[in-house]
Amino acid sequence: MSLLTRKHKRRGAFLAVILIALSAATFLMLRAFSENLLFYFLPSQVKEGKAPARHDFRMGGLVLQGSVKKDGLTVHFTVTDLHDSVPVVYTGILPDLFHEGRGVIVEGRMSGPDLFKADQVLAKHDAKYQPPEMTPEMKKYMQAH
Amino acid sequence: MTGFPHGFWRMGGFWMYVWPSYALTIIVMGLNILAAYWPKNDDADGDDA
Amino acid sequence: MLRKFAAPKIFYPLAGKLMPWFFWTFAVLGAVGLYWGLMLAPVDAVQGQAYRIMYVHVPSAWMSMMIYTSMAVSAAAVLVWRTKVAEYWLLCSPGLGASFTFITLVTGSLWGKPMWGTYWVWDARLTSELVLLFIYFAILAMKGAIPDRRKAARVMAMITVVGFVNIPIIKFSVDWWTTLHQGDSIFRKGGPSIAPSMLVPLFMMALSFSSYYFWLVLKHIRTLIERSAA
Repeated sequence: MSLLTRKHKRRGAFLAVILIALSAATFLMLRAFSENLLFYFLPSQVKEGKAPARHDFRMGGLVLQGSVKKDGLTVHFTVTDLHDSVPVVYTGILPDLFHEGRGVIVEGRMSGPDLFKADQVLAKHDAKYQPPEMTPEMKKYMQAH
Repeated sequence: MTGFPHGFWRMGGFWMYVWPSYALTIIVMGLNILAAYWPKNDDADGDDA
Repeated sequence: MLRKFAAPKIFYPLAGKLMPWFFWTFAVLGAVGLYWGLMLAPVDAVQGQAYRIMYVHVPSAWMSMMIYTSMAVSAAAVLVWRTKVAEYWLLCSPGLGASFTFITLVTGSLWGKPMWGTYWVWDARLTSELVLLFIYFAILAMKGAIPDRRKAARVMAMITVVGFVNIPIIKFSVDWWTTLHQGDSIFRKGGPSIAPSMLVPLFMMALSFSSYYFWLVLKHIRTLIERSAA
């Protein structure tokens, strides 16, 4: 009893053709919609005018070191992608992970050429997990990676 | 129970989101064990004739 | 060779022999992993206690994709060779797959609230995982709708093959597009970005969950073989 008789080869080839066609169709669709699949724009993209001007959008990057200024519930900070930066103003409660030097995503719109007015601030996690105090071996391990 | 590490019995704050996650996981996995060992009878019809 | 193991007569006793091994791997590693993850593993420097959700979230997410991949392999065997055991595998897996996908989505949401500041966003990772849940539902619906088991398996196989394109999308969504969901912490260039003391229980839980799946899928297949013999 052979695993690949003519019947099986025909069915296998049919399956392969369907798989290839499906992958190609998916690939083309994802390429076409790639822009819409972006959850946020980087500050340099915003500066280049690639972000939508008329409706709300999201901008993501790092909170610039030393840029956070709190005034009651209103907070000013700058989002940077280390190439360009955009100042942001937000009124409300910040997520616990919000911190200078860490990832952040702000949702809102540009108000004026150089100010982003945010309605929502989301913290982005950097995918690093480590205890607060590490032994020297652990520090060495984390630095190596 | 202050002897337990990490404030296990404290329900507030971040810890609040941890125990529901574990409870949900254990309940769903438990239900699947029940379904595998005590399957419903209607699974029996439609035999591979 | 392959065909021999795929015969229900051979598979039935083999599954019976393997089941206790999978059960005990699941039970022992699960118990140790739970205790290690909840009690022994240190607090995270940034996330505090909430990071412990990853010990159920990450293995469940892996399972949701691994189960689907095993179903896709079975689906190919069903469509090309009409293998009976592959049909059984396909009939018994989607319930477990949907369960793990559901756990992934809810625990991720419970982690997202304190960490990101939101339960849900429509980014590529979260959306594609939700799509996976709907694909599992579609496959389960076919199982419910078609009384003849062999016919049901064939239709389920077709949906499984079509839905398989979603698996690489889930996996690489965090690399291909900007997402709120963070990138991979484990399978990344330069090794995992998780401290070893936190990583060990994660692998234990992952092995425990996989054993749980194999244990239950074998149990379920044995039930189907018993019933078709009766």
